[in-house]
Amino acid sequence: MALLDNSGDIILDCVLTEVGRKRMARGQFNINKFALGDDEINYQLYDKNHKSGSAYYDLEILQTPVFQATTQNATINYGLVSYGNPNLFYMPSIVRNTKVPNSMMPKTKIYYLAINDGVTSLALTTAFGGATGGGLRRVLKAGQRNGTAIVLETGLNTAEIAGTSTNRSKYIKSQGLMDTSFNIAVDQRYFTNILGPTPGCVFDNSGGSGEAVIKLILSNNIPAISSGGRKNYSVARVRSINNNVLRRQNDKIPDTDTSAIAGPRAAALALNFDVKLLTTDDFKRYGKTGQTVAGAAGTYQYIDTTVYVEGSSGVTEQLPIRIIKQE
Amino acid sequence: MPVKSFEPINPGTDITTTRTFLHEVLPLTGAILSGTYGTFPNDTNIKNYTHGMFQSVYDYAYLSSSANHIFDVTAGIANSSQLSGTTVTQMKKKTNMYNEFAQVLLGYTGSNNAVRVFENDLKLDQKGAMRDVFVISLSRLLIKDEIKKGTFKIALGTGSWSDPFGTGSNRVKTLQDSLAKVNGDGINNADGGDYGVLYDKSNPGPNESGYGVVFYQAGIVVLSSSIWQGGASGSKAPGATAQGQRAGFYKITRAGASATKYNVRQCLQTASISGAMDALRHRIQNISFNNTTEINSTIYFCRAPTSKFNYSSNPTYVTGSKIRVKNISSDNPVAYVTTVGLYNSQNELMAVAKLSEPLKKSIDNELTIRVRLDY
Repeated sequence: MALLDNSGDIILDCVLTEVGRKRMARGQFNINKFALGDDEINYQLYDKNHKSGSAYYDLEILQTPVFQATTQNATINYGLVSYGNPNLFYMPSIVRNTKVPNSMMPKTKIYYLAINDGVTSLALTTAFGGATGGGLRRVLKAGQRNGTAIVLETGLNTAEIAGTSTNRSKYIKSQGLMDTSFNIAVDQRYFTNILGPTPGCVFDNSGGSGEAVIKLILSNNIPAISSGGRKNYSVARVRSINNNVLRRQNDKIPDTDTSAIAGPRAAALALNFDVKLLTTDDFKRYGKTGQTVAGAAGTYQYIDTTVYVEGSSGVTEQLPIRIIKQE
Repeated sequence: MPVKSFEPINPGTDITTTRTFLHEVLPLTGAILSGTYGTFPNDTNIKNYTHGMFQSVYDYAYLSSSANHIFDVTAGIANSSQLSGTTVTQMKKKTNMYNEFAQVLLGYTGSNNAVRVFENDLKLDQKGAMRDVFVISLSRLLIKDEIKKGTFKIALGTGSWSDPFGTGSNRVKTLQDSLAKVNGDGINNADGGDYGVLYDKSNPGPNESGYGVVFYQAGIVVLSSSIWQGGASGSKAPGATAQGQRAGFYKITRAGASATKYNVRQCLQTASISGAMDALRHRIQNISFNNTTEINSTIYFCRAPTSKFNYSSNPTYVTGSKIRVKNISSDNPVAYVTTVGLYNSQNELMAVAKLSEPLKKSIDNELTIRVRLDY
């Protein structure tokens, strides 16, 4: 994938995607909307303090080289978004929560997802600290609906605005920044179901004590929606949990002991996965076999994959997952 | 993953279709046809087939995967040719080749559905017939959709075998479709598409006959053997006899014998199709024409109004949930466009377009990006 020549006039390099070609072959090529993307842009290059003035703030951004369009795996990862309020100063972030009970903790920055074979999760739990030493929270058991889960939160992750109920309404709800659902994209070669929140889930803290009130029960969501460009991936839309963790004047336990979001919260999400019946051949083809895990008995085979999370407000997160099985 | 914000494309106002014609100049030098790759006539870019019905010319040694097929050449003799009454090497194949090209390009005539013969004018009145011909069938790789009318030229040597393009009077005969025009003047339309007549001058008279024809859409050039009959002043109709024909059109050396030179008529009689094509390649100085590519385009006008697409879901857009491109909340939101995605109603990305440099999108401007899809 080369870069486009940006020495002269602005040109547009356009190609049909793999999906577009298929649709054209079937006589179903019909374009009726567009979206804009800025995947190449690094907004950290926006220099609001440039010594030569505001005309130079975006100088480096405007010089960003842009890749050629590709037909395979073509997608817009980060779209430009439209909000009615031009005076937005804050936009939601998505963060991983490892504070609440049963929230999954990554091991060496990877989430271990143990095949549900009765031995793998046990061996890894022991190796990662045991049932009482945090091991349970470092191993995700495939298919488990009410145990350890990956917990994510969205909201304004800034200490500049307190996470009060008023601020939640002012900065999130009234601006249309609530994540009412999440799109979860998984590699359908490995996953059969995405376990997401049920309507009875609670993500709260009690007024007065400030204690966390967390109830995470998951149910199946079949990834059946086209991922729109990411090969082998399918998407399931899962419900969000109302993130009612609030900052109150007299709470004994601060809100930030429960929530990983520093300011007003929008939504929470708990995830686990059901894994396909993977053979040793699958592990050989897509991952590794005969591997050891520090502190764990035996050898293991695993596949590393990424799960993509996108909130309805546009927040995105990538979760590195290691599907692992004891040999 | 679906992106957050879409804007509709209105079929009535935002989509239009256009048709344009692109032309490329294609000069084919004669050197590539003989002598550049290997030793004539055994050039490595010339492919002969065991059936011997035509010869293929490549732009490089044909066994190489980087070689491109540029044209095929063959010889044809009509059933009604005077040569058909004589002993002719590969007569059936030469007749079959003539008939195949003629029936596809010109069709049939008369109550008995006789295959038409090529004529040296546009009239198709069975006068000025070209019964002994050489045919150059250009690859679609070169002609694309068609040869541009009025641009075809072929320079042929009519000199001796050892010096076909020599300096003598009219040794090089340049044939061109002088009267053909892009607007349709100077051409005729037959079963094989539009064709024009190849003249040996740039401004022939309206009733003048030529030395061959070029079929523009088919990319086929039919050359009368009469080009080499009688030299520069020879008749444009094929000679009734061998009289007046220039010797040395073809020279063949057989083991244990001295070299024999043949005129064009003798060549068509004596030589195989491959041998005759060797002789023809030896006499092509160059070929040039403009090809044509017809491009049908759909243009999508992607209109991003002032109030849309002013924020980004790019993870670097915020720091601590605070928008980086603002100092205070009343600053204009700004985002930078690098990509345009065209979607169907199921949110499937049908086409993707990349801008060569980022475009600033803010509340104080609106963008109309013109995305053209060519077919």
